[in-house]
Amino acid sequence: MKILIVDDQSGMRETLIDILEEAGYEVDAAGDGYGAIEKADQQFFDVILIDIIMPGINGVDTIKEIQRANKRPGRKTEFILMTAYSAETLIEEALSCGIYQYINKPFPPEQIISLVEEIRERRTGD
Amino acid sequence: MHKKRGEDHFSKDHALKPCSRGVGITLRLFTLILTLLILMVINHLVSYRQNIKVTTAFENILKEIPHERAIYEIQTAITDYIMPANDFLITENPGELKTAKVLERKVQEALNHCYSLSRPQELPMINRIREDFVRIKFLSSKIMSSDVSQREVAGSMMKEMDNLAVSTRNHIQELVRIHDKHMAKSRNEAEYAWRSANLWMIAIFIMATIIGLTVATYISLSILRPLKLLDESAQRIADGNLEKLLRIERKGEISSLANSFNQMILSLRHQIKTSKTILDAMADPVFTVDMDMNITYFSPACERLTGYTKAEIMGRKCKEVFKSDICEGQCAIKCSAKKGTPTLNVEVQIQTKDNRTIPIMASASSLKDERGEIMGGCEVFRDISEQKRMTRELKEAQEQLILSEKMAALGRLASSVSHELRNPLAVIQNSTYYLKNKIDSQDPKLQRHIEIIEHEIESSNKIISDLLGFCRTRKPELAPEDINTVISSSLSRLKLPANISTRLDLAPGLPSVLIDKHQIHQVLVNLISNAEHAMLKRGGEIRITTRGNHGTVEIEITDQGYGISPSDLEKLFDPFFTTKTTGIGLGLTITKSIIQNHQAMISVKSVVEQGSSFIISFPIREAVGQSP
Repeated sequence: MKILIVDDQSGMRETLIDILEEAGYEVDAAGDGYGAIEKADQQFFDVILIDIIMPGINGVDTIKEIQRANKRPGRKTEFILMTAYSAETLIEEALSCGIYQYINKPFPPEQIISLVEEIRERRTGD
Repeated sequence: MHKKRGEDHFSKDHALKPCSRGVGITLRLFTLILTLLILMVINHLVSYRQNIKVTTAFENILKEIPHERAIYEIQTAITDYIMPANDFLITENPGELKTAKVLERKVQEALNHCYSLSRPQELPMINRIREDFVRIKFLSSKIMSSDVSQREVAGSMMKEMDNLAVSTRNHIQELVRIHDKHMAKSRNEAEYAWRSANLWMIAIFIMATIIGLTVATYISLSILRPLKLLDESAQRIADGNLEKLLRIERKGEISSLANSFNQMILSLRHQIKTSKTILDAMADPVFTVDMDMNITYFSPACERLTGYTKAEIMGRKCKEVFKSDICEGQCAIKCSAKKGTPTLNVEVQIQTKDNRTIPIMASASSLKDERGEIMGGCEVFRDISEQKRMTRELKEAQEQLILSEKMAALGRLASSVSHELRNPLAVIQNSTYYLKNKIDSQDPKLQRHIEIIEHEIESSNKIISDLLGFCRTRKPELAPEDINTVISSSLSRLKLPANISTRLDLAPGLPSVLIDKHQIHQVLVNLISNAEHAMLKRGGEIRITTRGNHGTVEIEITDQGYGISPSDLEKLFDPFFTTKTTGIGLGLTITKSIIQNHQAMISVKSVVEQGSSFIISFPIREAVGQSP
């Protein structure tokens, strides 16, 4: 199962990569929305963990773009939105795009692992 | 000076001086002189006629005197005439004859003179005398022509002559008697004329007196009485009484004067009424005092503000009425009345009849009479309690606004910092997690330090959440909600320690209230968390009650914690006030802010060591139906 981490903060990217790889996932990372779109275009990710506020293109617009570009039948990328801000309008917009969940920073890493586990189990069940 | 205090400011000193006394004396003298003149004229007219009568009567009397003398002359002449004849008989002197001739002429003259003076009724008597004298003359001539031989005859003739003389004397006496009768008549007439003249004079005097009195009365009625009325009216005006108008029905100058006077009264009345109307209509209270600080005018606005009526105030000392804090000191009206300079905008306190203290803004000025002398003071003031209240409220609002602005700025700063802190915190948390899994778990100290890091991350996160919550007091999005449902929903998300239980006492069928359920959820979580914190060590029960109360729906959250001290209660809702070791003291500030944004109320009561109770009252808005 492939996971993409999209965050402008390198610390966040690095720690999450280590934690998720430790948990047995294949993890890639992008430093902004454009990088994420590019990577998602090249390969399929089961889960994309994405920060909402980033320089350039924000998380929600990135989600929309990835959803628009990758219309692979039968395979759906689940988005988990991470936010440090109370960007309520953006969160609502993201929810209307059909994201899997949103979590507030800082979050216990167990929460991320359990969410990813949840998705993986669902995929396996399918 | 003020006969009727407060009614006016007219002074007796300045009234018209009554002039009718001088005029009265002049007029009476005039009347007297006029009466005397009339008396003289009438007297003159009447006495002229009377004088003629009296004069005629006296003339008649005077006329009788020569007549009487003439009668007596006849007698004397006849007596004298007899004498020569008699003498001739004795002396036989022929000269006697000559004497007789002379005397005869005298008798004739006397007779003629008397005849000419006599009245017709006396004439026969004179004729008889004349006849007798003819006989006497004959006898006398006979006697004197006789000789001695004829003496005897002569003697008898002499005797006859004597008899005739006696007869003549009788006739003369008769004449005298007739004359006396006439004389008496003339005297009577004169006397009557004189008396009548006197009577006329008395009558004229009485008449003139009556006429004079009548004229005097007439003048008095027509001039003096209206003047007296004018004088009385002037006195009344001087006393400030303008109620009566003059009523003089006579025509002429006096009537014109009275009309002018009435015009003056009406004009004064109008002026006073206008001034009084203006004063009475003034919304700000006005009063005036005399030099002794006795109240002379008290406007209706004064009555309304102080509660005193004009009747109970007039003439009383200013300070007895207002009991102001500066009555004994820098009293505005006293200063103005004594110095003559206006005193502006003095802020003082006065007492009303019911002993309320009212702050007022007073301005005073002196009252001057027409000679420019100060006769008192006038003060206008304004109840500034409302203004003061508004100023106080404005100040409070300003302070509140400043505080809000400060809080908003602080909020923006806090929000920005909090958000920025969340990212590194998240990274720290991730790293800690990674380290925890990777580090050699044999070293308990390492494990403990990792736990400390995790705990502090949690605390930091809590602080950030509180700060953000405080900054995020957005406008509530109101929707009708059932409060009991909101409470149940909030409780279901909370995980309370084992030693703390909850008891719900929710009234069924409460009306819906207009609330933002997310914000109220935050409030409930806050209050329940506080309750939990207060009972953390001792344990106990948190009771949540709902009820309808006088158009409101109330939520009461009661704990059995250690309570809040009275000094802390005052600051309970202040930002950053906290008694807890954790948190930054924004929970109740946010709670209150949310509640206020809902137009609701929050109150707290607490007993130290027994527990606290927070009550929130939501107003039941109209057009909101019963909860389903």
